[in-house]
Amino acid sequence: MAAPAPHLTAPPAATATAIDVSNLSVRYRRNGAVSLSRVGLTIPDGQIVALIGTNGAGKSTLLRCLVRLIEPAEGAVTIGGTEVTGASRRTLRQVRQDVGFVFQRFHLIPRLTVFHNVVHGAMGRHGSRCAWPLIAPRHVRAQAMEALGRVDLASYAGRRVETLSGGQQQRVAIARMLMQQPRVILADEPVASLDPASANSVMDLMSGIAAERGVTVVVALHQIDLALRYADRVVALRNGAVQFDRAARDCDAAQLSSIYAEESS
Amino acid sequence: MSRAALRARPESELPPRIRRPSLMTLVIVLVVGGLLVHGWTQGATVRPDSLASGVFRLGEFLEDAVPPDASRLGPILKALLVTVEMALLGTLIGAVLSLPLAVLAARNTTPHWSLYAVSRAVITISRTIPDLVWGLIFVIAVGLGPEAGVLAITVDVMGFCGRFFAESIEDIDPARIEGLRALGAPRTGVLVGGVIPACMPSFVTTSMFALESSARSSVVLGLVGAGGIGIELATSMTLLRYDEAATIILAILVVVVVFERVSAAIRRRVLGGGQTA
Repeated sequence: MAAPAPHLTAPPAATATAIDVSNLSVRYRRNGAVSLSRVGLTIPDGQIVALIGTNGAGKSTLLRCLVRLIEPAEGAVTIGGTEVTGASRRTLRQVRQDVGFVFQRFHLIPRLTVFHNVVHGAMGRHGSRCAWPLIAPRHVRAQAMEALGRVDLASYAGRRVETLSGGQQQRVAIARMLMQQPRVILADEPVASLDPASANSVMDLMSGIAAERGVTVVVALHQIDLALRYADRVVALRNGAVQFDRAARDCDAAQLSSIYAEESS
Repeated sequence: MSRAALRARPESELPPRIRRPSLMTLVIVLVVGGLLVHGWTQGATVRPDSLASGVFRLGEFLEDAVPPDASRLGPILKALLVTVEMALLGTLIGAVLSLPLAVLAARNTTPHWSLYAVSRAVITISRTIPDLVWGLIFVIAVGLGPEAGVLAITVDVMGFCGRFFAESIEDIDPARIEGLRALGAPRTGVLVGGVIPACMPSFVTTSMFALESSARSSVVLGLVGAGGIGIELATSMTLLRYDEAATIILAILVVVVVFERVSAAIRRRVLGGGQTA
């Protein structure tokens, strides 16, 4: 079946640009297959963008490319006016300090305590001193407790992360991200491994933080209902390319579900 | 399909019961087989007559060794203490030095391929030369005494722990490293805050195995003049004072068993540490 033509409509009116992506392409190192193909996106400050698409559509690759956890083959990424592609290691670290990344599998250190993991969030700004709470500055320790309070896990500070439920671990990851005081949040299927109640709680938390702080959010999701409920804009990816990009208010659930239906047919 | 129809199916259509061995497999089997036959008949042969007379002489040894003579218990315990300290110090220094070596020798944490190659070479040399040979080398370098023993154990532990620490680092879930890199954490922060805590159970269990091995090595190292109880044992055996040797052997047995028990307890505690929910 031939791929449907992209339906492109203008995204909501922009203020300053938070993320600018142009002609971004990624190839797998092993076999040279294309994972992202000439993707272009401009995301204004404070917008919440949902990336949808089937497994392998390129959502995770795109998010990782934005902070060069995956190196793009070509194209350019700018975050907050700083060019990410081609940036030196030092500049890249500075960009990453301002970008909170929430992963599907949390990416915490399971053996360490909740508090210890949250303190790690300050490593971008304060360096290796924050690798261990023992030597972390006092204000960082206090800030970590504030962040844990924000995600309602202050009473779990001394517990090992591996003893918590998936939803709680994701909230720890969000608390760690809060330590970065991010201007942009990238979330790669943050609720994919959570039950519906935990998924709603995590999405409420992220959208609340975004609203409080005017943070730009790009979140990869499979749940159409969550995308429509929380996002200002929906970008659908298919085979590594943007299939459509439009304001969430202009989309409906049936239309977005068709992305998945087309893939499985 | 009926059983008769299944039986009627020709053998040639089924996968072979035994795969034809490769040329390399045949060569290995022939070489190992040849060495075994040569060893049994010509080289390291065990002759029944020498075995029978050996058992008889062993009886004589036991007759002289029992009851053990504890008249020199003080000097023996002092030498044993030196042996224990050699094992502990050598293991501690070796394990601590193994840590940076392993970071350089792990593909996912090494800063440069040349450092990877050098650190791997150091580990290989430390591992392949036996501890007794290291003991002889350090006796030449620093003279007779426990210092040579500590150095020999240190190098031996570096080889053992260096290899297994590096493998443990390479086996780490890449998500742990990615999570910290995404925060903008510096390389040292990723190592100290992520890699080392994630590998800690493996590091501790490996170090405990090294400690057990060092406890045994430290006894043997004394035989080549590297200090400790080994030299006492060698002297007693040479002077045919088997009753005194029996006391030393019993003391060594107690120490090695204590080391193994303590090490096993620590390993159990570390490995079971996460099951607190």
